[in-house]
Amino acid sequence: MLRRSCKANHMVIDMRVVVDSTRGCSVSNYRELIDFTDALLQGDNNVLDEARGRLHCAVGDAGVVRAAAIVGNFQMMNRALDTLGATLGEVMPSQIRALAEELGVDAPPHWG
Amino acid sequence: MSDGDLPIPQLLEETISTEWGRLSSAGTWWRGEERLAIARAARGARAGESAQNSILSDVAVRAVRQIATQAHEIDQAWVNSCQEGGLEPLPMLELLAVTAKLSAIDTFSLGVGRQLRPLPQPRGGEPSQETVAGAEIDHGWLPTRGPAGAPNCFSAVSMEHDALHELHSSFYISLPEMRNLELVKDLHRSQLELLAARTSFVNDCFY
Repeated sequence: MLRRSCKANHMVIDMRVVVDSTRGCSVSNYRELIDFTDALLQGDNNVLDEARGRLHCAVGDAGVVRAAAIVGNFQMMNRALDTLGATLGEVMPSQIRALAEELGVDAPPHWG
Repeated sequence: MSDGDLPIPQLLEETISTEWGRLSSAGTWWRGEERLAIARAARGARAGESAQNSILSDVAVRAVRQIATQAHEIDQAWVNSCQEGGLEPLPMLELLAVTAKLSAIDTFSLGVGRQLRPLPQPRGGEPSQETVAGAEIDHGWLPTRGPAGAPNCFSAVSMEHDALHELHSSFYISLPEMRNLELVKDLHRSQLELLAARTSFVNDCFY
């Protein structure tokens, strides 16, 4: 969905930013968004306070609240999908396989 | 921005309040006090505490702790071992839903600089044991109505299916909004998706 949303908005994105936060990205405030996500999932309050402050300067109250909600939502969805053993069909779609290779991410065995 | 003074939109507050009511009430397969025990076990596991005495069975506590902290390591053999230990598929699905939804709300609270919301008091009532026609194992390890995937994760337990969609719509985007790739919902769609992708990467969730 990240790639599709960028394409629809005429943005070029190097998807490797998802797995390597040292890379650049055309998404606005990507650095603050990634740092906030990492800090929130890491659980260090001091790091989180700092990351939240930087994100707040970039996107304001509503942006920070929405960012926290999105990370929360995917905490839920990741647990649900991993426990359910959900895949995208009996054979992994070719575009998913290609993206995984691009990102250097290994698929779990049950993805075929 | 560490004192929890961010203004929270009414819809988000209402979603969380609704979910807190569900958490404390009898579900489909668990009583209210059991659902709260699931929530306590999940929070304890995330805090790195060892398993405490619980009204839940050992296998249920083990399942909650795994889902709360190491869901990415779950495989078919682990799911089978839970069921061999007496955790039936539909109660396990509800246990998963309670654990996963709590993770969403707790993460949100911390993200906006609040303390974790105190768990509610249990309400009475007995589980409905309502079944969903057509729910079966379909490309997954637990029952779903249709092939296992994001929209129907909890579809074999209808109240949890409804709850997931309410949370998903309020916290992220609704199914109709999903088609709008130029959506702005406090943040631009590309920003929403970057947050989603990064969270999934950190959680090692391939889906």
